[in-house]
Amino acid sequence: MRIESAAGDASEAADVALAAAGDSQAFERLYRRHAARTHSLVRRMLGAEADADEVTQDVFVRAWEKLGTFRGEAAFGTWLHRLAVNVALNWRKSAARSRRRFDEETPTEVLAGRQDRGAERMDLEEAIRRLPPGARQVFVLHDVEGFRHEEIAGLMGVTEGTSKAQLHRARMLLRGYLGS
Amino acid sequence: MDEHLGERLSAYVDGALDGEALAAAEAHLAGCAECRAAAQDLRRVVGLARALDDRPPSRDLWPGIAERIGAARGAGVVPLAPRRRLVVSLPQLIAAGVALALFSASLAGTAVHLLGRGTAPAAVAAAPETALPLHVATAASSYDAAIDELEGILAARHSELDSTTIRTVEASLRVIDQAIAQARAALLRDPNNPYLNGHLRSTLDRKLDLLRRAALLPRVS
Repeated sequence: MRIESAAGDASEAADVALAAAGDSQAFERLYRRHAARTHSLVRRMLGAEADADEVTQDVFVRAWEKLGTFRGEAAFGTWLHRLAVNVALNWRKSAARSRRRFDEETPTEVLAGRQDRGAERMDLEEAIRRLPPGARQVFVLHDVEGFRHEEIAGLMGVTEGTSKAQLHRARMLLRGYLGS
Repeated sequence: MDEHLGERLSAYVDGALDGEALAAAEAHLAGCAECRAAAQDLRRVVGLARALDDRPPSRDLWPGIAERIGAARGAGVVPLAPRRRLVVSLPQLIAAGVALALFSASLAGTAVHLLGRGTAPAAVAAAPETALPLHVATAASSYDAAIDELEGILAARHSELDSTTIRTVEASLRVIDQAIAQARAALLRDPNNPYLNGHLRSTLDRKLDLLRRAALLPRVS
């Protein structure tokens, strides 16, 4: 309903302002409103549920700390999700949890994908989880979140060409995983 | 796959090719069943990706966040850093307390009337056609008292609060007021509509909550 939508937008803007001023209850309402979206983004980027919980908490803690820098040029949700992308990407780097370089991924995983052909079909969420990290991150950012290659290249510190190559690789692997 | 389109297939599916590149891709696709099938499958993958639903975390993550940001359970406004330290003078606290008391009383009365558990006062026998139904008018009156009180506090503190925050709050209040006006107008046409009654009450609650929090915002040092 239009009235509810308008009131919802206004109340979110108010909650952002109140949270920036230190109101934790207003911030909790923002968390409740954006938790599912943020957690889904992070989970898909990382490919692990348990890690996603930890990183989602990191995202909201960072958001709380940085709310004073939010000027409202973009919607709060857009700002939060870009922050979530950065936290998720940095989490992998800083913790050195990704032991392979972006461009050196895993023939074994590709092979595993091929072996899945003809096996039981999986849903897209599970298929995304099984992608190599670089291909997964580009796929999630481009095809799920709607980022452009130029933006992805900037966020991930790679060239646009690499982003395009990883996207195609991800899609072809998913095609195999999904048994298309 | 070099003899096929390779990465250009994804660019084709995304509509990112033009000119000679697009013409070359279309020419290849016209004669290559394998690439046509791959293009169809990739479109399906992209379509599935765009249709993914968000799923909440399997456990509530808020307690961990609240602990890390120092938010005490049940506390509304917490100090974050020295610049955000809550500074409210005693008169303001007293005034806010009065307003909160009015607010609580209005909520109790409203709950009784709007949920239909109470009996509307027998007065106001002949309400004009343009007036709200009695139970709605009674509830709205209670809300109005609390709202007036809180707006007075906010106006008195206007100069000592962060101007950006105040502008945002005021803009939000205008939208909420518009929603309240529309809900009241709709109730004139359909006084016993439970959805409209609930919507009006929740919108009034929202306004009160916003005003209450704004009135207690820390002073800008």
